[in-house]
Amino acid sequence: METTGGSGMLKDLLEYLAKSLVDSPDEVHVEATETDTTVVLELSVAKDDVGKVIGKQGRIARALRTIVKASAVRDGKRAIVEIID
Amino acid sequence: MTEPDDLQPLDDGEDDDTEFATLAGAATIQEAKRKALDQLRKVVPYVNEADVDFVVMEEGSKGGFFGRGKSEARVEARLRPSGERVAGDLPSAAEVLREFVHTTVELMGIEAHVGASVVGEALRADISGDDLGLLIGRHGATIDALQYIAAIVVNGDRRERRQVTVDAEGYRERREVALSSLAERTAQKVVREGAAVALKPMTAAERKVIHLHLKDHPRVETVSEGNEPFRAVVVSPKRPPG
Repeated sequence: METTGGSGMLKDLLEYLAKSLVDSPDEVHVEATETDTTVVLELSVAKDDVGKVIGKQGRIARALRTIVKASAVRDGKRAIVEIID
Repeated sequence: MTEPDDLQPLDDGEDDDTEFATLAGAATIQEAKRKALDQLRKVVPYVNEADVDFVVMEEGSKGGFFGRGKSEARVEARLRPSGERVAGDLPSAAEVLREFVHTTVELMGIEAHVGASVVGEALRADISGDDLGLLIGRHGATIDALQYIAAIVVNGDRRERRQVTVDAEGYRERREVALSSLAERTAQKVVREGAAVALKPMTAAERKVIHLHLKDHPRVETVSEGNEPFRAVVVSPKRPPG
């Protein structure tokens, strides 16, 4: 099981998930900042799409974080997903 | 666990419409059917159960008296030729589901195969692979998150929401068995100690398994308490009638 590893893959994953949920996929951007232990992913989407990546009571955001964090474990890192609104 | 049997196309040599059949063995007929179906899906991604004929080759037994030990149930699953399939082409919703789950799993860096199918009104995706522990997560947290997002992606804004199940290597069934046994043990404890027991927070689907399992229990009753995502089942002694 090889991965290209690092934040690149996590960035692609979050970007794909977000694009699948929103109305304006072209406006989905993920900014990744990586340290030795942590990857911070900042997700921004079109104004009208913010609700689509957060969900009622933050359920969608929580599910996105769960999936991304699970992936980061593979690289021995902690992932933090921030949604810019 | 047994090795999957070979999956070979049955070529009747007459037309190019290949037929697929596979044989699977497991402890029960039900399980063997599921395995056979999974094996078919490895070659033909979209298999509707309605298009598969199952033939029970061996019923299997739990082991007899004469030291003969137990034998496996063996079931052959045969996919009908495409011309005879009721399902026809894969409905687009299942295709969307398969594509979404497949790409997500791939981007998670997990090597796996994904098949999708339509079961009545509901859709399901089955992920198979060697090392899916990470994908499933603690008490299924990761696969539940994936299932939640997948349902939104498939249903979009449509009012009639189709139920979407994402499963990996029979995890859902295993989890249901584990939850039923938890329900059983908890009920015994509640009866023994005469005090209510609150279980850990669970998803709605998991709570339902507990409620259903104890629905007809003579001495305990169940309610869900708290707000998502911390909503949990409380099992308490049944109040005496009247």
